[in-house]
Amino acid sequence: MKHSAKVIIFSGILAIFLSGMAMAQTDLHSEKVFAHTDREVYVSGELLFFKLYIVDAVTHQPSTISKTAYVVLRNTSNRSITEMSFQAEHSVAYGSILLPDTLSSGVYQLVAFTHWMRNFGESSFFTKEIFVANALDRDLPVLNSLTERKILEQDSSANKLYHNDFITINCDKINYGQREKVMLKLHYNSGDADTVANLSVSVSAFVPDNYSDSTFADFFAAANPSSGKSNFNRRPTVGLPYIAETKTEVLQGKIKNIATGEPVKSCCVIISAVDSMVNLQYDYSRSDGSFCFPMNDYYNDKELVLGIRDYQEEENLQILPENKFELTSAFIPGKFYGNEHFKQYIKRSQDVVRICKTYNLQATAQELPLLKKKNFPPEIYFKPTIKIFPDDYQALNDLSEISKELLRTVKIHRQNESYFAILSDAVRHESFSEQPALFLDGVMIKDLDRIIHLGSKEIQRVDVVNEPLYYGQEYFPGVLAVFSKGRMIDKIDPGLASVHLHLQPNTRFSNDLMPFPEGKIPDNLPDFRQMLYWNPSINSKENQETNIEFYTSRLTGIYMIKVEGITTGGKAVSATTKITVE
Amino acid sequence: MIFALLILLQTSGYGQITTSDTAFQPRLCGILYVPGPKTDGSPFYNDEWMNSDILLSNGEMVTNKPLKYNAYIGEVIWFCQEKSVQIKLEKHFIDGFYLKQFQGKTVCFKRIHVPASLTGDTLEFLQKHYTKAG
Repeated sequence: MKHSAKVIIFSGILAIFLSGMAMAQTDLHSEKVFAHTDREVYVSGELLFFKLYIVDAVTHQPSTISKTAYVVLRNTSNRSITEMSFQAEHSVAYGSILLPDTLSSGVYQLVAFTHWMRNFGESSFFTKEIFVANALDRDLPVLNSLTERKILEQDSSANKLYHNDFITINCDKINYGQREKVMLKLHYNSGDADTVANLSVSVSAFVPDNYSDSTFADFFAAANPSSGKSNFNRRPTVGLPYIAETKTEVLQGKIKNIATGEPVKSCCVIISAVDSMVNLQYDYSRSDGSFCFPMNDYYNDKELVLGIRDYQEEENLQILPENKFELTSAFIPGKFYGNEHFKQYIKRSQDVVRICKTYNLQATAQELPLLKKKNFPPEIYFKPTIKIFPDDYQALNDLSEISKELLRTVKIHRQNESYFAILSDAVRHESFSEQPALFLDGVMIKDLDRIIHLGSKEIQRVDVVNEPLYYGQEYFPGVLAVFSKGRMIDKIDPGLASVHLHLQPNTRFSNDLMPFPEGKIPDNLPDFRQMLYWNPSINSKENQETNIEFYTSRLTGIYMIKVEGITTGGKAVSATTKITVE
Repeated sequence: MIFALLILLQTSGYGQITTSDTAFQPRLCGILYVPGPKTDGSPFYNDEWMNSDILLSNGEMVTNKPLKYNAYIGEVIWFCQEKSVQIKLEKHFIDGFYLKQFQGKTVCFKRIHVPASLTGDTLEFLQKHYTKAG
């Protein structure tokens, strides 16, 4: 009897635990990113246009989590060619990547992800292969190696057309003349009333007998766990160490002991931007040595300095900021194969790019200012007690002289070959017993010896705060802040195990293709565009038709029209069709 | 006991989203507050430390901090429990504050800028009584 009671209690506990786990798993919102690129094959010097869709991994509805997406373009040696971050608006972001002129011919991988997705491993990142031919590489020897690898496994999906039931593409004709207007109608019908499809449309020269990229609908199907071919790991790798960037970007990192390699907890990690005002954030490292800071747009494109407050060199610590673009998994190419058709296509593309470049007809996208937010710097004081500009006075040789002549509330002493400053406390009407917080160019530094040699020639401004300051729980016995004329902080080590960083600014682009947003190139110019149309921002309502117009170029051949998108109800929308220019 | 522990463990390990909205508590900023000489009557609007929310000028909200409003000098005093010190908050970084449960209701103070040609502009906190509809 006793035994059966124990079994019942244990079963009850187990049932509750398992149901709780299942419930928590359902609540765990992971994300997926899908990228629609304008093409799959490029020539160096061209722009790769893309649109990123960020969706909830479970519901497939536009994700409400991440507001920043990261894109890395890397080569087969896993070296990053380009790293960019993009501001997402309504769960989509679009932009372009300039493929450098010096890029060697070969297969490259486009990787797109959010910071939150790092919790689920790199296998959850979106990847896509593209081929880039160097503009001057006419022999294209790299294609031979591709042939050897791929000839055994012909891709049956090559050349296929695709459409799902939610969208249809209707062209006014199938065959067009050169420089003729093409009129498309997109009809969106998902069966879900009041939904809107957010679409992107590309029209580009068809690459014969080669890799055909999977569609958004394919991507969803492949990532669906019930399909049995999911490569998407919904479970976090270890806990959830990476913070979702819902509002601002974040900077995470770790403190470790250099000698032991062990993480170090309870270190006061500080971060400041090099600026003409004192700014500071702090965080105490956790038991795993980790720290994190919110990085609003104030930090965009600024030089940042991380340090450890009250750092002593014998502590032997190292700050390891996270590299947000880091990819540890290897890129193993395998989708393109080189045949004679492909070689001829690339050679023609090289000629086209040369002509377009000569006549400055290459498509570009206009970069837009970032969406404005209220981004105040994290100041620790509003107004200094004393502010002086040494240039207003007779030239003085060093900071000691400046304090003696111009800063009556600052006393600089020398003891055992070291200088230290003591301020008078305007609140308690006595001198502080400790040295003030010292800053150079907005960045906290360890001691006065590092800046004592700076005189009127080097110093633009000195701020003194003669009050006992608190910023959060951090106490500052006054502030002595020196702002140099020539960014001396770049030459002077702050001495706090400091690490310099530069945060890449987010980017945001318009959907107009320059220099001819209306799509018609003047008759007197050689119009050999391979990419006839790219629009990453089309919203189509349920049961409504969307009209699209563009012009063919003088380049004859088959063109692929590709529509990708997502509905507000979480359905993937994909359709492709071909037209011919004669 | 075991039930509660298991439920706590499972919910803390999974299902929690740490976001940049929730992970970071904005910092309060100010200088040490030294009370003045004893006076008849109290300079404080609320004599007791009162659980309050503070709206910062960057739009962020700091919640549940013990505050007193010194109406005599027009300053907001925060009691920093971790350091056991009273801190006079920097007015320029505050747009307003909410004393919760003051005589059973929430009292809101908003910061206003008072232009004055002779004495220099000042920042004052005014109690908000009405919100104009529409």
